[in-house]
Amino acid sequence: MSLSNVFALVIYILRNECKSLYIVLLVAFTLGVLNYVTKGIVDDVMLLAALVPTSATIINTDKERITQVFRSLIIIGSSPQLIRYAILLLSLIYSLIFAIPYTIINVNSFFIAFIIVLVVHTTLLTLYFRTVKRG
Amino acid sequence: MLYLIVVLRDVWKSYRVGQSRVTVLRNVNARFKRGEIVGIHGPSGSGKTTLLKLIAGLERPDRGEIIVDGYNLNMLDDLGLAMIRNTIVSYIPQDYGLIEGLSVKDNIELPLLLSGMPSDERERKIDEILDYIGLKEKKHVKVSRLSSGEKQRVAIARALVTTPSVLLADEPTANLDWKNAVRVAELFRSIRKDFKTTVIIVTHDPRLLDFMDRSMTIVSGTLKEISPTQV
Repeated sequence: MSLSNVFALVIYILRNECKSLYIVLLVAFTLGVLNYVTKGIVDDVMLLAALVPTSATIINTDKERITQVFRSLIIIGSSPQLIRYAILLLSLIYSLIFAIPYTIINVNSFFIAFIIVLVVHTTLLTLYFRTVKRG
Repeated sequence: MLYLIVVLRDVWKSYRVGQSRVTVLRNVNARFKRGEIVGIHGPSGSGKTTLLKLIAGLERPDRGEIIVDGYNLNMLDDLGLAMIRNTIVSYIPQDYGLIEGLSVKDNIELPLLLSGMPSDERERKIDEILDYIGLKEKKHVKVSRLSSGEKQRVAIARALVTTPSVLLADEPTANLDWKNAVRVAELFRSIRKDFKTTVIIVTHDPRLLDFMDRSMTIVSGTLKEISPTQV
Protein backbone atom coordinates (compact mmCIF):
# COMPACT_ATOMS: atom_id res chain seq x y z
CA MET A 1 0.00 0.00 0.00
CA SER A 2 1.63 3.24 -1.09
CA LEU A 3 0.92 6.84 -0.16
CA SER A 4 0.20 7.64 -3.80
CA ASN A 5 -2.61 5.06 -3.73
CA VAL A 6 -4.15 6.83 -0.72
CA PHE A 7 -3.87 10.21 -2.46
CA ALA A 8 -5.38 8.78 -5.63
CA LEU A 9 -8.28 7.35 -3.62
CA VAL A 10 -8.88 10.63 -1.84
CA ILE A 11 -8.92 12.51 -5.14
CA TYR A 12 -11.51 10.06 -6.46
CA ILE A 13 -13.71 10.46 -3.39
CA LEU A 14 -13.31 14.24 -3.35
CA ARG A 15 -14.30 14.45 -6.99
CA ASN A 16 -17.35 12.43 -6.13
CA GLU A 17 -18.14 14.73 -3.25
CA CYS A 18 -17.29 17.99 -4.95
CA LYS A 19 -20.87 19.32 -4.96
CA SER A 20 -21.09 19.26 -1.19
CA LEU A 21 -17.59 20.71 -0.94
CA TYR A 22 -18.89 23.84 -2.65
CA ILE A 23 -21.76 23.97 -0.17
CA VAL A 24 -19.27 23.50 2.67
CA LEU A 25 -17.24 26.43 1.43
CA LEU A 26 -20.32 28.62 1.04
CA VAL A 27 -21.72 27.78 4.48
CA ALA A 28 -18.34 28.16 6.12
CA PHE A 29 -17.84 31.53 4.51
CA THR A 30 -21.31 32.75 5.50
CA LEU A 31 -20.84 31.59 9.09
CA GLY A 32 -17.40 33.15 9.21
CA VAL A 33 -18.68 36.51 7.97
CA LEU A 34 -21.68 36.33 10.31
CA ASN A 35 -19.39 35.62 13.19
CA TYR A 36 -17.16 38.55 12.24
CA VAL A 37 -20.05 40.97 11.77
CA THR A 38 -21.83 40.01 15.02
CA LYS A 39 -18.67 39.97 17.07
CA GLY A 40 -19.39 41.33 20.50
CA ILE A 41 -23.13 40.55 20.20
CA VAL A 42 -23.07 36.81 19.61
CA ASP A 43 -20.55 34.72 21.47
CA ASP A 44 -17.77 33.33 19.25
CA VAL A 45 -17.89 29.96 20.95
CA MET A 46 -21.66 29.71 20.39
CA LEU A 47 -21.26 30.34 16.68
CA LEU A 48 -18.42 27.90 16.40
CA ALA A 49 -20.46 25.33 18.31
CA ALA A 50 -23.07 25.70 15.59
CA LEU A 51 -20.49 24.20 13.26
CA VAL A 52 -21.05 20.74 14.71
CA PRO A 53 -24.65 20.25 13.49
CA THR A 54 -23.96 22.30 10.35
CA SER A 55 -20.97 20.28 9.22
CA ALA A 56 -22.62 17.00 10.25
CA THR A 57 -25.73 17.87 8.22
CA ILE A 58 -23.70 18.82 5.15
CA ILE A 59 -21.63 15.64 5.28
CA ASN A 60 -24.76 13.60 5.91
CA THR A 61 -26.25 14.77 2.60
CA ASP A 62 -23.45 12.78 0.95
CA LYS A 63 -24.02 9.69 3.08
CA GLU A 64 -25.50 7.55 0.30
CA ARG A 65 -22.77 8.48 -2.16
CA ILE A 66 -19.93 8.01 0.32
CA THR A 67 -21.36 4.66 1.44
CA GLN A 68 -21.55 3.53 -2.16
CA VAL A 69 -17.93 4.61 -2.73
CA PHE A 70 -16.74 2.62 0.30
CA ARG A 71 -18.72 -0.42 -0.83
CA SER A 72 -17.25 -0.23 -4.34
CA LEU A 73 -13.75 0.16 -2.93
CA ILE A 74 -14.11 -2.94 -0.75
CA ILE A 75 -15.45 -4.97 -3.69
CA ILE A 76 -12.55 -4.06 -5.98
CA GLY A 77 -9.96 -4.98 -3.38
CA SER A 78 -9.17 -1.91 -1.37
CA SER A 79 -7.91 -2.86 2.10
CA PRO A 80 -9.76 -1.47 5.15
CA GLN A 81 -6.48 0.10 6.25
CA LEU A 82 -6.18 2.02 2.98
CA ILE A 83 -9.76 3.27 3.34
CA ARG A 84 -9.06 4.39 6.93
CA TYR A 85 -6.06 6.41 5.74
CA ALA A 86 -8.18 7.84 2.94
CA ILE A 87 -10.85 8.86 5.49
CA LEU A 88 -8.27 10.67 7.60
CA LEU A 89 -6.73 12.49 4.65
CA LEU A 90 -10.12 13.32 3.19
CA SER A 91 -11.27 14.71 6.56
CA LEU A 92 -8.16 16.86 6.84
CA ILE A 93 -8.76 18.40 3.41
CA TYR A 94 -12.48 18.85 4.09
CA SER A 95 -11.85 20.51 7.48
CA LEU A 96 -9.21 22.81 6.05
CA ILE A 97 -11.63 24.03 3.36
CA PHE A 98 -14.29 24.57 6.01
CA ALA A 99 -12.00 26.40 8.42
CA ILE A 100 -10.14 28.73 6.03
CA PRO A 101 -12.90 31.47 6.03
CA TYR A 102 -12.57 31.68 9.83
CA THR A 103 -9.11 33.18 9.49
CA ILE A 104 -10.94 36.49 8.87
CA ILE A 105 -11.87 36.45 12.57
CA ASN A 106 -8.61 35.24 14.06
CA VAL A 107 -6.25 32.25 14.09
CA ASN A 108 -7.95 30.76 17.15
CA SER A 109 -11.31 30.62 15.37
CA PHE A 110 -9.63 28.93 12.42
CA PHE A 111 -8.17 26.22 14.67
CA ILE A 112 -11.41 25.70 16.59
CA ALA A 113 -13.38 25.39 13.32
CA PHE A 114 -10.73 23.09 11.88
CA ILE A 115 -10.72 20.74 14.88
CA ILE A 116 -14.53 20.66 15.23
CA VAL A 117 -15.09 19.78 11.57
CA LEU A 118 -12.19 17.31 11.55
CA VAL A 119 -13.65 15.39 14.48
CA VAL A 120 -17.21 15.45 13.08
CA HIS A 121 -16.10 14.43 9.58
CA THR A 122 -13.73 11.65 10.68
CA THR A 123 -16.32 10.25 13.09
CA LEU A 124 -19.13 10.23 10.51
CA LEU A 125 -17.03 8.74 7.71
CA THR A 126 -15.68 6.04 10.03
CA LEU A 127 -19.24 5.28 11.07
CA TYR A 128 -20.35 4.98 7.41
CA PHE A 129 -17.39 2.72 6.68
CA ARG A 130 -18.18 0.45 9.65
CA THR A 131 -21.78 0.15 8.46
CA VAL A 132 -20.60 -0.87 4.97
CA LYS A 133 -18.08 -3.35 6.38
CA ARG A 134 -20.74 -4.98 8.52
CA GLY A 135 -23.17 -5.16 5.57
CA MET B 1 -5.55 -32.78 -15.69
CA LEU B 2 -8.23 -30.16 -14.95
CA TYR B 3 -7.04 -27.43 -12.62
CA LEU B 4 -9.23 -26.72 -9.59
CA ILE B 5 -9.50 -22.99 -9.01
CA VAL B 6 -12.00 -22.87 -6.12
CA VAL B 7 -12.45 -25.55 -3.47
CA LEU B 8 -14.91 -25.40 -0.58
CA ARG B 9 -14.51 -27.94 2.22
CA ASP B 10 -17.13 -28.41 4.94
CA VAL B 11 -18.10 -24.75 4.92
CA TRP B 12 -20.62 -23.50 7.49
CA LYS B 13 -21.99 -20.00 7.78
CA SER B 14 -24.58 -18.53 10.12
CA TYR B 15 -25.87 -15.06 10.94
CA ARG B 16 -27.22 -13.56 14.11
CA VAL B 17 -30.86 -12.54 13.70
CA GLY B 18 -32.09 -10.84 16.86
CA GLN B 19 -31.40 -13.20 19.75
CA SER B 20 -30.98 -16.36 17.69
CA ARG B 21 -28.55 -17.59 15.01
CA VAL B 22 -29.70 -18.71 11.58
CA THR B 23 -27.50 -21.21 9.74
CA VAL B 24 -27.44 -20.31 6.04
CA LEU B 25 -24.85 -22.77 4.76
CA ARG B 26 -24.33 -26.25 6.21
CA ASN B 27 -21.37 -28.43 5.41
CA VAL B 28 -20.98 -27.08 1.87
CA ASN B 29 -18.49 -28.94 -0.32
CA ALA B 30 -17.80 -27.90 -3.93
CA ARG B 31 -15.07 -27.78 -6.55
CA PHE B 32 -14.85 -25.36 -9.47
CA LYS B 33 -12.50 -25.95 -12.39
CA ARG B 34 -10.56 -23.34 -14.33
CA GLY B 35 -12.51 -21.96 -17.27
CA GLU B 36 -15.99 -23.29 -16.51
CA ILE B 37 -19.28 -21.46 -16.12
CA VAL B 38 -21.31 -22.67 -13.16
CA GLY B 39 -24.81 -21.57 -12.22
CA ILE B 40 -25.90 -21.52 -8.59
CA HIS B 41 -29.66 -21.71 -8.16
CA GLY B 42 -32.01 -21.75 -5.19
CA PRO B 43 -34.85 -19.83 -3.60
CA SER B 44 -34.41 -16.34 -2.15
CA GLY B 45 -32.63 -16.37 1.18
CA SER B 46 -31.11 -19.79 0.57
CA GLY B 47 -27.55 -18.52 0.92
CA LYS B 48 -26.51 -18.03 -2.74
CA THR B 49 -25.15 -14.52 -2.25
CA THR B 50 -23.48 -15.56 1.01
CA LEU B 51 -21.69 -18.32 -0.90
CA LEU B 52 -20.35 -15.80 -3.45
CA LYS B 53 -19.28 -13.40 -0.69
CA LEU B 54 -17.41 -16.22 1.06
CA ILE B 55 -15.52 -17.10 -2.14
CA ALA B 56 -14.76 -13.39 -2.67
CA GLY B 57 -13.41 -13.12 0.87
CA LEU B 58 -16.01 -10.50 1.73
CA GLU B 59 -17.20 -12.71 4.57
CA ARG B 60 -15.52 -15.43 6.60
CA PRO B 61 -16.96 -18.90 7.22
CA ASP B 62 -17.81 -20.08 10.76
CA ARG B 63 -16.16 -23.40 9.96
CA GLY B 64 -14.53 -25.06 6.98
CA GLU B 65 -12.00 -24.05 4.35
CA ILE B 66 -12.19 -22.05 1.14
CA ILE B 67 -9.23 -22.34 -1.21
CA VAL B 68 -9.01 -19.93 -4.14
CA ASP B 69 -6.23 -20.36 -6.69
CA GLY B 70 -4.13 -22.12 -4.05
CA TYR B 71 -4.77 -19.56 -1.29
CA ASN B 72 -6.54 -20.77 1.84
CA LEU B 73 -8.71 -17.73 2.67
CA ASN B 74 -8.75 -18.67 6.40
CA MET B 75 -5.01 -18.01 6.54
CA LEU B 76 -5.31 -14.47 5.15
CA ASP B 77 -5.87 -11.26 7.09
CA ASP B 78 -8.01 -8.34 5.79
CA LEU B 79 -5.12 -7.05 3.69
CA GLY B 80 -4.56 -10.48 2.15
CA LEU B 81 -8.26 -10.85 1.32
CA ALA B 82 -8.24 -7.39 -0.27
CA MET B 83 -5.27 -8.46 -2.40
CA ILE B 84 -7.19 -11.58 -3.49
CA ARG B 85 -10.17 -9.40 -4.55
CA ASN B 86 -7.89 -7.05 -6.45
CA THR B 87 -6.02 -9.75 -8.37
CA ILE B 88 -7.64 -13.21 -8.31
CA VAL B 89 -11.37 -12.93 -7.62
CA SER B 90 -13.75 -10.30 -8.95
CA TYR B 91 -17.24 -9.92 -7.53
CA ILE B 92 -20.14 -8.24 -9.32
CA PRO B 93 -23.02 -7.49 -6.92
CA GLN B 94 -26.62 -7.44 -8.06
CA ASP B 95 -26.72 -3.62 -8.04
CA TYR B 96 -23.43 -3.53 -10.03
CA GLY B 97 -21.49 -1.78 -7.21
CA LEU B 98 -20.41 1.06 -9.49
CA ILE B 99 -19.77 4.65 -8.42
CA GLU B 100 -22.59 6.45 -10.21
CA GLY B 101 -21.00 9.90 -10.07
CA LEU B 102 -17.87 8.79 -11.92
CA SER B 103 -17.40 8.10 -15.61
CA VAL B 104 -17.17 4.64 -17.15
CA LYS B 105 -13.40 5.07 -17.54
CA ASP B 106 -12.92 6.17 -13.90
CA ASN B 107 -14.91 3.23 -12.56
CA ILE B 108 -12.87 0.74 -14.57
CA GLU B 109 -9.64 2.49 -13.61
CA LEU B 110 -10.16 2.21 -9.83
CA PRO B 111 -8.99 -1.41 -9.36
CA LEU B 112 -5.93 -0.70 -11.52
CA LEU B 113 -5.20 2.40 -9.47
CA LEU B 114 -5.26 0.32 -6.30
CA SER B 115 -2.86 -2.20 -7.80
CA GLY B 116 -0.39 0.62 -8.47
CA MET B 117 -0.32 0.26 -12.27
CA PRO B 118 1.35 3.15 -14.19
CA SER B 119 -1.07 5.56 -15.90
CA ASP B 120 -0.11 4.77 -19.54
CA GLU B 121 -0.61 1.05 -18.89
CA ARG B 122 -3.93 1.77 -17.16
CA GLU B 123 -5.09 3.78 -20.17
CA ARG B 124 -4.16 0.94 -22.55
CA LYS B 125 -5.92 -1.68 -20.40
CA ILE B 126 -9.09 0.43 -20.14
CA ASP B 127 -9.23 0.92 -23.92
CA GLU B 128 -8.72 -2.81 -24.47
CA ILE B 129 -11.45 -3.82 -22.06
CA LEU B 130 -13.92 -1.18 -23.33
CA ASP B 131 -13.29 -2.41 -26.85
CA TYR B 132 -13.91 -5.98 -25.66
CA ILE B 133 -17.27 -5.25 -24.05
CA GLY B 134 -18.29 -2.89 -26.87
CA LEU B 135 -18.62 0.33 -24.87
CA LYS B 136 -15.69 2.34 -26.18
CA GLU B 137 -17.94 5.22 -27.24
CA LYS B 138 -19.23 5.54 -23.63
CA LYS B 139 -15.77 5.91 -22.10
CA HIS B 140 -16.31 9.40 -20.70
CA VAL B 141 -20.02 9.09 -19.94
CA LYS B 142 -21.13 9.17 -16.30
CA VAL B 143 -22.37 5.78 -15.08
CA SER B 144 -25.61 7.37 -13.82
CA ARG B 145 -26.53 8.12 -17.46
CA LEU B 146 -26.20 4.52 -18.66
CA SER B 147 -28.95 1.94 -19.14
CA SER B 148 -29.10 -1.17 -16.91
CA GLY B 149 -27.57 -3.32 -19.65
CA GLU B 150 -24.70 -0.89 -20.11
CA LYS B 151 -24.13 -0.63 -16.35
CA GLN B 152 -23.93 -4.41 -16.14
CA ARG B 153 -21.33 -4.46 -18.92
CA VAL B 154 -19.31 -1.73 -17.19
CA ALA B 155 -19.44 -3.78 -13.97
CA ILE B 156 -18.16 -6.78 -15.94
CA ALA B 157 -15.41 -4.64 -17.50
CA ARG B 158 -14.34 -3.37 -14.08
CA ALA B 159 -14.30 -6.94 -12.78
CA LEU B 160 -12.36 -8.18 -15.80
CA VAL B 161 -9.76 -5.42 -16.12
CA THR B 162 -7.50 -7.05 -13.52
CA THR B 163 -7.75 -10.39 -15.45
CA PRO B 164 -8.98 -12.39 -12.47
CA SER B 165 -9.02 -16.20 -12.35
CA VAL B 166 -12.54 -16.21 -10.90
CA LEU B 167 -15.50 -14.00 -11.76
CA LEU B 168 -18.47 -14.06 -9.38
CA ALA B 169 -21.73 -12.54 -10.59
CA ASP B 170 -24.82 -12.11 -8.40
CA GLU B 171 -28.04 -12.17 -10.44
CA PRO B 172 -26.37 -10.49 -13.46
CA THR B 173 -29.50 -10.52 -15.63
CA ALA B 174 -32.10 -9.74 -12.96
CA ASN B 175 -32.72 -6.18 -14.18
CA LEU B 176 -32.24 -6.81 -17.89
CA ASP B 177 -34.58 -7.40 -20.82
CA TRP B 178 -34.20 -10.44 -23.06
CA LYS B 179 -31.81 -8.83 -25.54
CA ASN B 180 -29.44 -7.49 -22.88
CA ALA B 181 -29.62 -10.69 -20.82
CA VAL B 182 -28.47 -12.74 -23.81
CA ARG B 183 -25.76 -10.22 -24.57
CA VAL B 184 -24.43 -10.44 -20.99
CA ALA B 185 -24.62 -14.24 -21.04
CA GLU B 186 -22.70 -14.35 -24.33
CA LEU B 187 -20.13 -12.01 -22.81
CA PHE B 188 -19.60 -14.46 -19.93
CA ARG B 189 -19.12 -17.26 -22.44
CA SER B 190 -16.52 -15.20 -24.36
CA ILE B 191 -14.73 -14.35 -21.10
CA ARG B 192 -14.53 -18.04 -20.25
CA LYS B 193 -13.08 -18.79 -23.69
CA ASP B 194 -10.75 -15.78 -24.10
CA PHE B 195 -9.45 -15.41 -20.53
CA LYS B 196 -9.91 -19.00 -19.20
CA THR B 197 -11.76 -17.38 -16.32
CA THR B 198 -14.01 -19.44 -14.06
CA VAL B 199 -17.42 -17.76 -13.96
CA ILE B 200 -19.74 -18.54 -11.05
CA ILE B 201 -23.21 -17.05 -11.49
CA VAL B 202 -25.97 -16.87 -8.92
CA THR B 203 -29.22 -16.70 -10.83
CA HIS B 204 -32.95 -17.34 -10.94
CA ASP B 205 -32.97 -16.67 -14.66
CA PRO B 206 -33.84 -19.71 -16.82
CA ARG B 207 -32.57 -17.79 -19.89
CA LEU B 208 -29.03 -18.36 -18.64
CA LEU B 209 -29.28 -22.17 -18.49
CA ASP B 210 -28.00 -22.73 -22.02
CA PHE B 211 -24.87 -20.79 -21.19
CA MET B 212 -23.85 -22.88 -18.15
CA ASP B 213 -21.44 -25.80 -18.18
CA ARG B 214 -23.12 -27.16 -15.06
CA SER B 215 -25.61 -26.09 -12.43
CA MET B 216 -25.84 -26.42 -8.67
CA THR B 217 -28.58 -25.65 -6.21
CA ILE B 218 -28.69 -24.77 -2.53
CA VAL B 219 -31.24 -26.81 -0.62
CA SER B 220 -31.49 -26.43 3.16
CA GLY B 221 -28.09 -24.80 3.22
CA THR B 222 -26.37 -27.57 1.27
CA LEU B 223 -24.98 -27.27 -2.25
CA LYS B 224 -25.95 -30.02 -4.69
CA GLU B 225 -25.12 -30.67 -8.35
CA ILE B 226 -28.20 -30.81 -10.58
CA SER B 227 -29.00 -31.41 -14.24
CA PRO B 228 -30.35 -28.42 -16.26
CA THR B 229 -33.86 -29.96 -16.34
CA GLN B 230 -34.05 -29.85 -12.52
CA VAL B 231 -33.66 -26.07 -12.34
